[in-house]
Amino acid sequence: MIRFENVGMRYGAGPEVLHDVSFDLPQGAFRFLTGESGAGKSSLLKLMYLFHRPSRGLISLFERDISTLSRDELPELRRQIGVVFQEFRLLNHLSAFENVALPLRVAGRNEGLIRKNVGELLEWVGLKDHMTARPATLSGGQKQRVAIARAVIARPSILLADEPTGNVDDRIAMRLLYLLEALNRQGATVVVATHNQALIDRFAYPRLHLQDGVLHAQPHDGARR
Amino acid sequence: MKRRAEAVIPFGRDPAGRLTPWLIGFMTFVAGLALAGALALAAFAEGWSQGLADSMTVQIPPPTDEVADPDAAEAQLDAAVVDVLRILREAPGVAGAEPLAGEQVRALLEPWLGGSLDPASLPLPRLIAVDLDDGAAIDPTVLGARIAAAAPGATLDDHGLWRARLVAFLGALQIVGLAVVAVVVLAAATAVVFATRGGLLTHHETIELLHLIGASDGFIARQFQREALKAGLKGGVGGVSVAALTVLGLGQAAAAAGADLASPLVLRLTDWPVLALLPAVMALLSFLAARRTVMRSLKRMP
Repeated sequence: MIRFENVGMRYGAGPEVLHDVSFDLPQGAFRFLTGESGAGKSSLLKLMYLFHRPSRGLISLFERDISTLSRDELPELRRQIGVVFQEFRLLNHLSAFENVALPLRVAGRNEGLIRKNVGELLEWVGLKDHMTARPATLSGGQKQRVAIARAVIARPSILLADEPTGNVDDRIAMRLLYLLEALNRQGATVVVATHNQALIDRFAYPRLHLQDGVLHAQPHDGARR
Repeated sequence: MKRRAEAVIPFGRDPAGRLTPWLIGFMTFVAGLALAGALALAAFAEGWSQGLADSMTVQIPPPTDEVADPDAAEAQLDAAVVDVLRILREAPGVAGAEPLAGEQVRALLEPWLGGSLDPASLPLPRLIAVDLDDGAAIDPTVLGARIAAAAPGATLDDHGLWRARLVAFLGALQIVGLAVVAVVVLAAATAVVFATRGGLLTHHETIELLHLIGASDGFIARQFQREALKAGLKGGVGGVSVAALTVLGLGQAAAAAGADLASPLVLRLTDWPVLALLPAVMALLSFLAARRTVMRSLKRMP
C-alpha cells in the first residue's frame, strides 16, 4: 500500500530533513508516527499525501512508483488519501456541510449522493445540528470532527492525521482515536503523527519513530497489526 | 434539507475581483462607442457611395471663343444641351436626364460666390443631372466621348474620384474605430489576466487545499473561468447598454440639430445585433484569459 525505499527529502536547496527512510505498510495497517518536534513527521506525511516529491529514493503508493506519475494522474491518487491536517485547514467561508462535501465535489459526484453521504457522516460525528455553521463559530473539537469527516467522506484507502490531538482535550482526543480505529477496521491504512505519549500507550499499535530525520520502526508491546 | 452549493473559492471577498466587472464595463463602453462609430460610418459611406454611383453629371461649358451676341451664345448652349440630352436619353441604363435650371446652378455657386450674383455677369456652364437604372453598367468613357463629340468641351462626371476619396477616407476612419475596439478588448483581457493572477495569490491556500483533496487543475480553473465569465457578462452588458443609450442620444441630438448632421450617427437595424455581440465577446475573452492564466500558473505548483 505504502512503500518507502531509501527516501531522502529536502526543501529547496536546504539540508536534508529525511534520510534514507524505508518502510512498508500493508493495506489495513495502523501506525503511530512519533518523534520530537522538528524530527520530520510532517515532512514524511507530506510525502505520503503527495504534497512534496522526494529528493531521492523510491515512494510507491497503491503499487505505483510516484516518480513516474504525470501531473494529471495526481488528483485521482490524492482522492484515495484522506488527510487530517494539524491546523485542520477548513475553509472559513464554507459551512461545515460544504467543507465536508468538498472532496466529493472535486471528484464530480452527483449532488444527491453528496447530500445523503455528507448528512449521514456529520450526524455520525455528532455535528447534525451544526451543518450550516461556519468553522469560525465551531469549537476546536467540532472543527476537528469536521476535518476528520472531510478526510474520510470519499472513503479513502489511506488516512493520514498530522497531530490531530494537538488542539483538543484528552476526552476528545480519545474519541478521535476511536474514530480512526473504526475507520481502520473498515480497511483504511491509518498513520497518525503524534507526540501524545498517553494516547500511544493506550492504543497498542506499532510506531514509526523519527529522530533527526532518521526512521526507527518500534513495534509496540502487544501490537495489534 | 435543501442547500445551495457555495462557491468553493470566495471571490466575493477579493477586492480586485469585485472591481473586474466595473473595469470590463468601462472598457466595453469605450469599445461599444468605437464599434458603433465604425458601423455608422460604414452605413454612411455605403449610402453616400450608392447615391453617387446611381447618378452622373454632364457639364457643358459656355463657348470659349468670343461670340459677339450673347443671345447667340445662349442659343448655341441650348442646342448643345438638347443634343446631349438626346444622347443621354437614348443611352441604355440611363433612367432619366434633366438639365439644371439657371437658379439651381446659381444656388450651387451661392456658398462660394455670395447671393448677389448677377446671372449675366458670369458665363455659367449648363449642368445635366443624369439618373441611372439600378446596377446599370455604363462605360463613362464611351458615353463621355459621344457627348464630347456632340458638344465640344462637354464632360461627363461619374463622381468616381469623389466616391473613391470619400470611401477611402471613411474606410480609414472605420479601421481606426475597429482598431480602438480591438485595443480596448485586448486591454480588458489583460485586466482579467491580472485580476486572475491576483486571485491566484489571494486564494493560494484554498487552491493548495483543493489540490490536496484531489482537485484537478481543470476543476480549479473552472472556478476562475466561471467568475471571469460572470464578470465579463456583467461588465459587458452594462457597458454596451450605456454605449447604446449614448449612441441613441447622440443620434437624436444630431437629428434635432439637422438631418445632414444626423446621418453619420445613425445605426442601421442590422448594426444593433453586432453591437449586442460585444458583451458575449467580452465574456468569452474573459473566460479564455482566466482559464489560460490559471492553467499556466497551476503547472508551476506541486
